[in-house]
Amino acid sequence: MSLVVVRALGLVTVQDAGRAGHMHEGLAPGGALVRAALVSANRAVGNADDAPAIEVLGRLIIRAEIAIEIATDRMPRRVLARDAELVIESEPHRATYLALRGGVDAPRILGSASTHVAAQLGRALVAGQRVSSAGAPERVGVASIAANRGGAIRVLPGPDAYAFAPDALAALLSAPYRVSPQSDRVGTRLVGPVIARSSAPDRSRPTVAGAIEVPRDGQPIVLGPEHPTTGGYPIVGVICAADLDRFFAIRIGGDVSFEVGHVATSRARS
Amino acid sequence: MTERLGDRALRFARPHAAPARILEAVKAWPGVVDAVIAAHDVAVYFANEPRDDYDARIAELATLPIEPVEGREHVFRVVYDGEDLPAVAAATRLTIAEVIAAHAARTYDVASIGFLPGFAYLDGLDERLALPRRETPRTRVPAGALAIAELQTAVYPFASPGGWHLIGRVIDGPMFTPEHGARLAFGDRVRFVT
Repeated sequence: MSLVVVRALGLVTVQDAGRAGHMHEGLAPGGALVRAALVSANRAVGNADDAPAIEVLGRLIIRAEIAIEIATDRMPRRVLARDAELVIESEPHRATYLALRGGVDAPRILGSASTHVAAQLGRALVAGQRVSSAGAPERVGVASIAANRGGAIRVLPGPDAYAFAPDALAALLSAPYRVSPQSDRVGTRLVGPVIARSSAPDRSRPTVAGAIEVPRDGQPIVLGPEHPTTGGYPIVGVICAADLDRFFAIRIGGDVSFEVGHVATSRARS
Repeated sequence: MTERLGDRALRFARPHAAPARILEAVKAWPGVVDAVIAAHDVAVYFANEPRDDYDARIAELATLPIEPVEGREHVFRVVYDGEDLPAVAAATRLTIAEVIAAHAARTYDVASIGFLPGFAYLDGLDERLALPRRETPRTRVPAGALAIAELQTAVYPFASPGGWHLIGRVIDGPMFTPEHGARLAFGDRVRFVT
């Protein structure tokens, strides 16, 4: 089965669980921005949880070359006629995933089919491109997850307290931040209360997805799946791994509040 | 001191052992999926929240040998035509020919890898060429650019913003490929020839 891309707006890429194990050579794992939504789309068509699917950050219009059955998390199961167009929008969420039964057919590079823009592994989808499944399937699944569940996003403070003014963490927790349109898979920029730095100079240190870096202007950047493996901005806190999906699911222009989480209690919350 | 970098990673001061040995050791720890060896720190990444106490293992890293492991020898062909050559010459009070000769005379070691996929910070720069980073970073440095800053040199694997001084470009191939990942690894030694 083939789907043909009619239009891709924003960033539309193939993503799976990413390629762990290469950070020592400067390559962050990458992979789906909102992994729970990737899993949900894959389950809707009976795929393995981490099968390659299409991540839509923006809008994708596709045309099916045969009749296909669509399972989505937003409307009842239905059949899309041959040559009909399907519009998949990430709004009102940040990311939506389109899974094809059998998995999207894409080359595995260094162990993963995920597109990694910075490392030029794979490429964003463009109009005219065909997308095939690795199986023999007439079913697709579409899924997002809503971010507005579970309340504040939990953060473990530190480790760079020396690089901040004493009230920096209090500022982060004081009021909601807005997710800036200047956000991508490398970093999510937030606009809100200024997080004051100390006079400590920038030092290039290891980073991690979910780290809340603070440049001199005091407006935080949360590192995403394609983050640089080292960065010069100090880290005021790191989002708990269990809350990363909820954070990255917040739409552009949406609000996020933070609270302090604790190691060993940061279990999944929904 | 060991610090938590979120609930799935630990960060600690880089021991004075050969980086290839540190990397090999930490990647063998239970539950470890990734590691970054930066200029002054090591970060170790776990599949799940680390529950064991890793302090003893971290302390043991300091007993690893400082002698580098035998890596590969690379000879990169370079055109020394970087935009910043005249400024580097002026700031170092050398001629452009002397800057080039000083850079090409040395053999460099991989000190750390980070920033971009395949971006290796190379130690061994001639002290006469040491300059602080540019006050205003460029918004775009082309892939393959050969640059210097402080006591290091590096080749930009991909086009990116950058604050180092551009002295030339490497003309024999990419620094990161889908097939093999990063071209340079810890223990490797690098020379540049015209």
